[in-house]
Parts: sequence; C-alpha cells; structure tokens
Amino acid sequence: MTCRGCAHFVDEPARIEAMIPGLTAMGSARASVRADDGICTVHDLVVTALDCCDRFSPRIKEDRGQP
Amino acid sequence: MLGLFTLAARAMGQDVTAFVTGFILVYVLSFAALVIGAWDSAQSYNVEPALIALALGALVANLVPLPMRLNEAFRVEFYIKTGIVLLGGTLPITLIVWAGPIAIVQASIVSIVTFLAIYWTARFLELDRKLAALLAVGGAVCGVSAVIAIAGAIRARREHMSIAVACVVTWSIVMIVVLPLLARAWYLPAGVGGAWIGTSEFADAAGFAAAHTYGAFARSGAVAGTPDQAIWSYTLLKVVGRDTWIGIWAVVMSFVAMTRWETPELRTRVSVLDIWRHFPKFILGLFAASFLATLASQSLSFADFETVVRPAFTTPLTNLRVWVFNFSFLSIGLTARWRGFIPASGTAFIAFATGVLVNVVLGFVLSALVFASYWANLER
Repeated sequence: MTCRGCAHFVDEPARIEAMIPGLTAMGSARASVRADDGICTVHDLVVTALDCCDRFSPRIKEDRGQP
Repeated sequence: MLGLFTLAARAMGQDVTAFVTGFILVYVLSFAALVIGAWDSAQSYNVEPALIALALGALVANLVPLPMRLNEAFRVEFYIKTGIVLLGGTLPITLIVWAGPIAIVQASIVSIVTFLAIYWTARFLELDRKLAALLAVGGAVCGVSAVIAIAGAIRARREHMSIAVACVVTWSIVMIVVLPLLARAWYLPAGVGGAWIGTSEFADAAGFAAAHTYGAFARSGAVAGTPDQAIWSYTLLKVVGRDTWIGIWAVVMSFVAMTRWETPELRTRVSVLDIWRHFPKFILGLFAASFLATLASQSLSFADFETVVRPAFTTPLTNLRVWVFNFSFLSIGLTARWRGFIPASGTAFIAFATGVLVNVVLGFVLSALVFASYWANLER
C-alpha cells in the first residue's frame, strides 16, 4: 500500500528525466542520491517509495510506473 | 573505452544501441576539443580543452537537431563520477587524511551560511518554503544532486524541482568562466584557486571544468603552483568537504518537513537510514581507489615510483581521466538546451543569486585568507 506498489508512482530514471527539464545537464535520475524516490503523478510531488496516501492504486506488472 | 562504457550502460538498463551511437559522437567531439586545445594559439590564451568541449557541445546541441535517443550517451554525471573514481588512483590517501578535516570545516561553514542566505532571501521574497529549501541546498551543498536528494526528502512539487535545477545549472555554467578569471586576476596560487572553486561552484562537473581551467593557468606559469594542486584542492573541498553531507542534509530537511511543513496529501516517515540511502556512493570509490593506490606505492622509493609506477600506472590513468572528464564537459554542453528548461521564476533567480554572492565572497575569504597556507602547499 506504499508508493512503491502504486500505479501513480514513477520511478524509472528515463521517465523522471523526461519530467524534469534540465535534470541531465548536471545530474541524473540514476544518481544514488535519489535512492528510491520518484514522482507521484496524482499529486505532482516528489515522494519516497515508502510514502502512502488514500489515492493508492495497485500497479500491475505491465504498467510499471504508468499512471 | 567504448566496450567498458557500453557494459556499464547496459548494467544501468540503458538502450545499448542508442548509447553506442551517441558515444561515438561524444568521442569524436571530445577528440576534436582535445586537438583544438593542443593548438599553440589556444594554449597561448589558456583556452583549455574543458572549455572548448563545453562550448562545442553547447553549439552542437543548440544548432544541430540531434535525435533524442542519442541522449543515452550524454551522461554528464556518469562520466564525471567515473572520472572522480579514476582521480582517486592519483590522489594520495595521506593528502585526504591531512587536508580532509580542513576541507570539511571550510565546506561546512560555507554550506550553512549559503543555505541560510538563500533560504531567508527566498522567504523574504515570499517564495514557498519547500522551493526556498530546494534553492538553498542546490546552492549550498552540491547542486543538482542535492536538489534530487532533498526534493524527495521534503516531498517537493515537481515544478519546484525544475526551477531549482534551472537556477543551479545556469549559475554553475556562469561560474565555470567567472571563478577561474577572478582567481587569476588576484594571482591566487593553484591550490588556493582550486579550493575557492571547490567551495563556490555548485555542480561537480562544472567545478572540474573550472578547476582544469585554473590548473592550465598554473601550467602556463600565469599563477603559482601546479595543475594537480588545483584539482586536488578542488576535489577535497567539493567532493570530500561538501558532497559527503548530502545524506545528513536529507535527513535533517526530511525531519523539518515532516514536523513543520505539512504535506496533507501524504503519510510520510523519516529514518536515520536515509543518510545512507542518499549518500553519494561514488565517494567510496574515490576513497577506495586512493587507498589502494597509496598502499601499493608506499614501499617504493621516489626513483622506483618515477621509473615504474608513473609510466605504467599514473600516466595512463591520468590520460584516461582526461578523456572521461572531457566526455563530461562535452555532455554539459550537449544537454544544456536552454529552450528545454522551464524558465526559473525571477524571484527564485534573485534568491539564488544572493546565495551565489555570499558563497563567492565567503569562499574567497576562507580559501585565500583563512586557510590559504593549507591549500597553497598541497603536495604528494
């Protein structure tokens, strides 16, 4: 029931980099400092994989990271 | 190099075909930058390959419509962190032990003062608290990496992260040129200039470009010292002194955000283990490479080191590092496509600029006055 298993949670580096313009100019979503943080497409917030909320929607294998 | 980097790209889950295609372009353009930098006229004006690679990359990115898939190989961070680990092989661990504590003290003073300057200015200008915090860590700790780490820790808005990244990238590029020129105008010794750049630059890659440029001034005799001293003092200040604190900043900011800045949409938690989760692991590679190289050469005489170790190990490693750093500088230019940035708001830019001013002045005072004797005398 945490963000890690939520369909609204984007944690793929390539998608995060596409969602944050300029991120790759001096950094990377693959950086170890990001840990397992990602972007919640419902609240448009950067969240950790262990956060949770009432809008949880389980992720199925095929739509990993898809809203 | 192509084989090694392709293996690494594959291990990171990247598109291998796109990476190989993009890497060939990166290699060719880096080679061109090194050739141009070796020309007499370029050397007489101290135009380093670092700056040429940066300019070449920016020209290509903003004038030539490159396919997006080539971005797979334009990995500033990947190359710079590989280069930093390689640098560890030529940076004596004894130097880290000797100057590391001073670097940490200097970096901590500057980081805290800069953080407060940006945060308070941003709040005075009525910016959101979380945006203020992102701008502050971006200017105070280690640029985009700090923004990435702290954005998750404080549950920042995605848009705020973009604004903070735009401010950091813009000022980092400006400082690549400004800091070496200012340091040269005051004839700061190479080690002192490197320390100032390490204290006052915002991103690792941009700082290395500036430190390389300042090292070239030392090589040409324009300032005292050696190119190595500029790189070593920069690395000690930026990597050892500032980057190591990211995890701690993340936990502190996470605690502040959880207890004082409500995020009603979420149920959050904070753990001391977050220090490790957000720790930049490449620093361990730097320490390990430095320790192993020092251990392997400590029993050798100076003559043995010069005749055996230098030609067989130090020189090839340094050459490889020069290439990898050039890939990074070129990638800065290739990825800095201004039209793709979300324009930072004027107030955010002003708040960040205030921190830049404080950081640069305080960095100069600490590097060139308070701790100058340490940085001017760095030796193997």
